[in-house]
Amino acid sequence: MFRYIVKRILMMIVILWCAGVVIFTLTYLVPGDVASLMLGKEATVEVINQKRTVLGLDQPYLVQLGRYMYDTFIRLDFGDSWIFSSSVMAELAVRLPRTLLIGLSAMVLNVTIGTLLGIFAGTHEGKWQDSLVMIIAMVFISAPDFFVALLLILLFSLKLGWLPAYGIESMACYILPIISCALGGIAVNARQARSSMLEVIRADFVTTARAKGQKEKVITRKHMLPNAMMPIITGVGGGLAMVVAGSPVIESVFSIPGVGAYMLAGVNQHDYPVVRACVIFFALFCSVAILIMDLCYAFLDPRIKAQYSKGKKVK
Amino acid sequence: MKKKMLALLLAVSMTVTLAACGSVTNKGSDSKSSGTSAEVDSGDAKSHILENGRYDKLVVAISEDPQDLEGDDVNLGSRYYWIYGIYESLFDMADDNSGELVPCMAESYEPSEDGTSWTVKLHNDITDWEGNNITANDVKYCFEKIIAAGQAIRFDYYDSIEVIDDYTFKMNWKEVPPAISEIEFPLVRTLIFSQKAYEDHGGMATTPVGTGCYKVTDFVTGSKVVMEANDDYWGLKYQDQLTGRHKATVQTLELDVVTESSTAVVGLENGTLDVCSYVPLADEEKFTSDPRYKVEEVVQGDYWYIAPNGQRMGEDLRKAVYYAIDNQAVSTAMGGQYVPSTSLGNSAYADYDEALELDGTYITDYDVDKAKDYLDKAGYKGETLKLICVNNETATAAAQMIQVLLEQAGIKLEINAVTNDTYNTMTSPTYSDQWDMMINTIGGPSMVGSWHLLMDNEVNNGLTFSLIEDSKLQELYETATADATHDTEHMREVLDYVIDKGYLYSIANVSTALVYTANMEEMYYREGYYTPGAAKFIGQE
Repeated sequence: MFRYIVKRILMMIVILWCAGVVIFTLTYLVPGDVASLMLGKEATVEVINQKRTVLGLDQPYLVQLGRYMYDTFIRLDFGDSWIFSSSVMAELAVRLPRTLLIGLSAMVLNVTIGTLLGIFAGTHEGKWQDSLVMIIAMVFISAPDFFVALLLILLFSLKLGWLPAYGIESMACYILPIISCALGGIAVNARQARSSMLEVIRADFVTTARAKGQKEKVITRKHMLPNAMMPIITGVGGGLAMVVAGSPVIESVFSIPGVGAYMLAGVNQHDYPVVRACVIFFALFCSVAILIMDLCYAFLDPRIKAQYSKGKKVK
Repeated sequence: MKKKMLALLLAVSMTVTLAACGSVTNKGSDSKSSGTSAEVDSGDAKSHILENGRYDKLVVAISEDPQDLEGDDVNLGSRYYWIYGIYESLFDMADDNSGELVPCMAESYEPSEDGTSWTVKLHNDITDWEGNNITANDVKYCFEKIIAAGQAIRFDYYDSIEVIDDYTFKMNWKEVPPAISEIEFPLVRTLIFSQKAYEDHGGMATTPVGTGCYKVTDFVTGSKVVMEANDDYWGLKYQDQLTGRHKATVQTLELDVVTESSTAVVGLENGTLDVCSYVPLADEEKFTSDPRYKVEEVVQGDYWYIAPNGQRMGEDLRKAVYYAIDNQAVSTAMGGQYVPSTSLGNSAYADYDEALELDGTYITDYDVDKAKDYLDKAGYKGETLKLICVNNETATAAAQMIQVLLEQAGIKLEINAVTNDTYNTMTSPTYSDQWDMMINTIGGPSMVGSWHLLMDNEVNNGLTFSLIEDSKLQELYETATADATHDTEHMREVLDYVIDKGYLYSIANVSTALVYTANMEEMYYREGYYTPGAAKFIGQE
């Protein structure tokens, strides 16, 4: 297992390096002149050329790429934002906790509430409890994030006056964004968990356990749940990787300066240092999330664990 | 059973939705009654006035993240409303919107005999918040920094600065500036700060040190800027000479970034915010009936226009297109905050005058028959015209409505919605065969300033931005922009000529509701921009 983890970490370094080259090349190839876009229509050719020099855009591709790779991977410096005039690393460090707070809290709610609802619906297949959960799930899957967010603001901030409508002043400011983010995920997880439960509920080993007189609760907990968890973990892993990217819509509605809003501003304003840093950062986070997910598989499925410990694939 | 459950669920969700949506109306009536009980009389308003005469705290919504608080950018954008509270410039434009220069950090200036340089004398007692004395060397440093950073926009006439002594310097021009508006950016929009403070802090993106009447006490990128009135402000002893925006009438001025207008409306309704300038007109009525607030409809300077390709569209075809467009319909399609335009500029500009309204022209008259007459004159044979615009929601909506209207007159139109930078590239003379007309938005420091790109034959390698070459237009434009002849009469001459030739069509102005606390007696405006930190409050002298 240890060798496997080391191997995966080494692979992550290669992936990040490749992501660096790809994102730099893509942003380099984006048509249009960044300097003239930043300065607007009133700028003269001389001023635009001066701006290009300041940003280092007058250098050949290989020189720019070499400098970028050296700064990013050797000096661990993402550079300064062209728009925010501040270090990208410092800005990410300030914004990331807000995004993670919202994303991870929403994820915890997604997984716990969504999975419990899914199990509840799956074990009551065809009954009113199942229909109720599925209808609620359908409503929240269908409702757009911003619409749910605005309804929550109107209800809890304006009508009841319990929570702030925007800002980051206190923890109370994060409650509505977390709920807005979580509702859609709870619905998706509930459907996923129900579907997984229905698959294992008809499996031979469950029938065998019942035939042997095992209690239904024990069958659910010890036989059905571990087997139903695999696709849920896959979904959670994917969701975890998305957490760090934040939700630009939710951050915008609640005026929360998070990573999502930062990257969106970077993309809209061609602030390439921000875009490149965010992509590298997301690649790192995704790699770690997928590694954790794979380790969870091994924890839950003894066959996979055996495969890792032998250090070879089972064909 | 299932049906009962479904009915129950629908009832619950409906109740929640109605409770949320209905809250606006309920709150409106609630606030009305609470507003009446807590009637905004002078006594209540005066309770907010501190012993030093300032209003205690004002929370203002801003729709755009200021991103940083650097002072080395003349392109102030939406920061224009408040950045002069932090930093200051050499001069100001006069409060009466006359376009006159008023000294600020500069005490006086003396043009040379040939007009190619100005000798400027600074006040010798200007200090920033950290006590650094501002000298001529700091002025030179700020100008050089802007040029080195590639930010020197509209510095066409600026050449250099020569320091004469600590508080005197010579500002050299490349040629004699024809009008103050041509040198507004170096004189009024270039912010001056101390070199020492800048270097000590390693920049001022997050830790600004200005000379203004407010000090920044807290700045969270993307969230808020908090400023406190500066008790040691150097300009306190010159208040009678400085313009109104150098008065700190509020003790704590908090700017909250609220990007969504609907969230800002809730912020106003629940009392979190005191001022918001981008309340959609559809929500205006909520506040007109609320005694806690005052409402003003604000027309913004920027306006939307159509410019035909001067190299491809003849005069008759241009006019055919204009008469076929109903700018009321186009404005409606663009969204609730757009109102039809009636001139090339609007009342937000200091040099606007009612005599510049273009009633009875193709801008105000929608006449399909006339459009068809012009089409016949133009010998139009059903060719497809190409319209280029930026691919944002507003421009695309306008373009689509124009396409529908032109089709009614028998004109085929193809829309090419592109990114901002592609738009800038496509509208260069190199790609002049790729489009027939463009729609976009434009603004400027004055009404004639907004005509710079549209009428100045020098901006695009000897052509206007829409590739028009017309020496008569150039002559009229230069006359209207020159200080001595910058008046309504000469501006009207320009407009009459433009209309006669069919060079431009103005679609819509942006109009929003400015909502602010009823405790404010009078909002302070400069060049159409509101400045809440300099407003007058009930109970203030």
